Amino acid sequence: MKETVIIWTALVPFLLLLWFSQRLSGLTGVSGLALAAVVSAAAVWFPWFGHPLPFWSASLSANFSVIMVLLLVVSVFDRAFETGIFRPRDWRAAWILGAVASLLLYPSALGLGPQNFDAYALGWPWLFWGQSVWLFGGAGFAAALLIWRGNRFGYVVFLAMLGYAAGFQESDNIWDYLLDPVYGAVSLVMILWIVWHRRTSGPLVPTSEESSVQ
Amino acid sequence: MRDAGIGRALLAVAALLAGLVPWWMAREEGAKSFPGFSVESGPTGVGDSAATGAFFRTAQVNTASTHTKSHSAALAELSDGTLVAAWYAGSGEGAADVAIYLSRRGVDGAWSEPAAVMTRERVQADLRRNVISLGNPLLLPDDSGRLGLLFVSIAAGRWSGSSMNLAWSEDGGLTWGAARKLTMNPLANLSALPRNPPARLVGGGWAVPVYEEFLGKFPETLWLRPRGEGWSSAVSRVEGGVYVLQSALVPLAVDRAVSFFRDFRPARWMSASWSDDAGRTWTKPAATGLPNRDSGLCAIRLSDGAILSAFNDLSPGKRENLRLALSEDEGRTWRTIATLAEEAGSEFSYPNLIRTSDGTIRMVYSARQTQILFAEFNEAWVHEQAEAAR
Repeated sequence: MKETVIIWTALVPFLLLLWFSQRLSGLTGVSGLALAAVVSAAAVWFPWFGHPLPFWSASLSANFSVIMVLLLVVSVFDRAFETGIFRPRDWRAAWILGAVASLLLYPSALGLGPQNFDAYALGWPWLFWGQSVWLFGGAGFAAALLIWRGNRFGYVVFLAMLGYAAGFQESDNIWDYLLDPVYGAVSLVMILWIVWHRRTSGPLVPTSEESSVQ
Repeated sequence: MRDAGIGRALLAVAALLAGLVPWWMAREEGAKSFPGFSVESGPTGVGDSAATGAFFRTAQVNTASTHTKSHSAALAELSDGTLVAAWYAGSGEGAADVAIYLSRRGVDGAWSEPAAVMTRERVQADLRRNVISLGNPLLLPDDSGRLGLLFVSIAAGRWSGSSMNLAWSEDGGLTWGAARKLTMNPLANLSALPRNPPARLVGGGWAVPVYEEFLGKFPETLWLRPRGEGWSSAVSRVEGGVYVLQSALVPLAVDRAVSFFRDFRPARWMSASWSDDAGRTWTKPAATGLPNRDSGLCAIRLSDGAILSAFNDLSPGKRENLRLALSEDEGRTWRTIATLAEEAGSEFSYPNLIRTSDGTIRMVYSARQTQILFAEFNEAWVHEQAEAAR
């Protein structure tokens, strides 16, 4: 097991605990973040049923996506410092990409859809090299387009692809850097919520910040 | 403002390149991703029988076993001719005491005392994650003398909570390096299992028939290819849905192969798919004329191109018999030619067939899921049985 995988499987429960502890405690600012970080780090290394949390999170999955981890980081920092790293439209881009990618990937992973088609196989660039360009090029194009349009989620996708190039996860399939079932499920729920909200309350009006920042 | 626009444009180009560069760098490996199957007709298996004709022998591999469960055996031949069998055994399927056992058969023909080569505790330490049980070993003998061991570890629940691991031995299975997890699917990497022997690939590596049984139940191919000092792995789909699994992969030529499936549709036929592009795509599974009551089967190609299958024929109980069938048209039609085992109320299951370098056909299977039985015979015996069955 690569050392980077161990770090990754520790980082995910740490960030999740940090995220929850911030919301439960209502703490903000540097001191709030520091306190939440200390509590979360202690909980991560506490031996739950004989093993620290990274042991259990690796048992669940060693391949939490880079995008989900970075979204957690953004959320934690936004909560702590009220910096507004992500604006509503950045979050919407994250949920749209997560939902679309989930609908492309997970049905075929469950054996649904065309007989021989498995979208996940395209994530190994050497296996179906010709067809894989749609996934690798598509992810690159999506990141480029978002960055060009001033959407900060584009940088997150960009970093996920750099993570894939670095190869620090257990998986060497690019899908595992871009998407995981948790991020996918949250994205689908958020998209449903946005659609429901628009149907009941009308379109979301862009904030002045949204309309001015490019 | 203009500088910010240029910076953003440069970052956008960098992001596009971050997607395309890894893809472009894989082009050489991509050109060899389906290199074709290594198919040799080889001898007919009369060499070790004084060239006198047909022979058939059986033995028990785990003679002194006290386990209440011994099942899912696999067989392989090392480069020096040693036979190696592996299976899982313990107090029950999915139990914490289940380990992967291995036995070797030397030139004297005797099977060695089985040794637990992978235990739950050891695999848990190797993988640094929770393991509640082990199962389904498969052996990958390398021309260089290395031996690979594919097996599943269960993280939660039963087989649908399993994932696949690979370990290597440099001394024919006596000692093993650390197991590492293979990434097989995006759903928490759960529910991938091996079952039948791999097919060797041109230029090294294997195509391993594997299957998923989470919500869908379907066959796939695990491609293991040498890459530098290590291995690259990837998985391609054979068929989706929820009706066939546990394929037996039989190469017919460099670019052609047939896969036979355990099929749990009510029709009770073994089904088959064919590939004419080296395993890249497969035809829709079609029922063959061979009856099979949703149970594990195995098949190999003989020196004359005929295909021999070991399977559970229909019987009042699910797996009360184990029979051999022969196909001379690449798996489309079959004739049952012999019964290897049959006993009312008993169970003979999970055959694992290989054809060794001297042409002899060797197999292991489970009896009552407690005994691991071994059988060896040559093609002369197969043809003798086929003639008698006409």
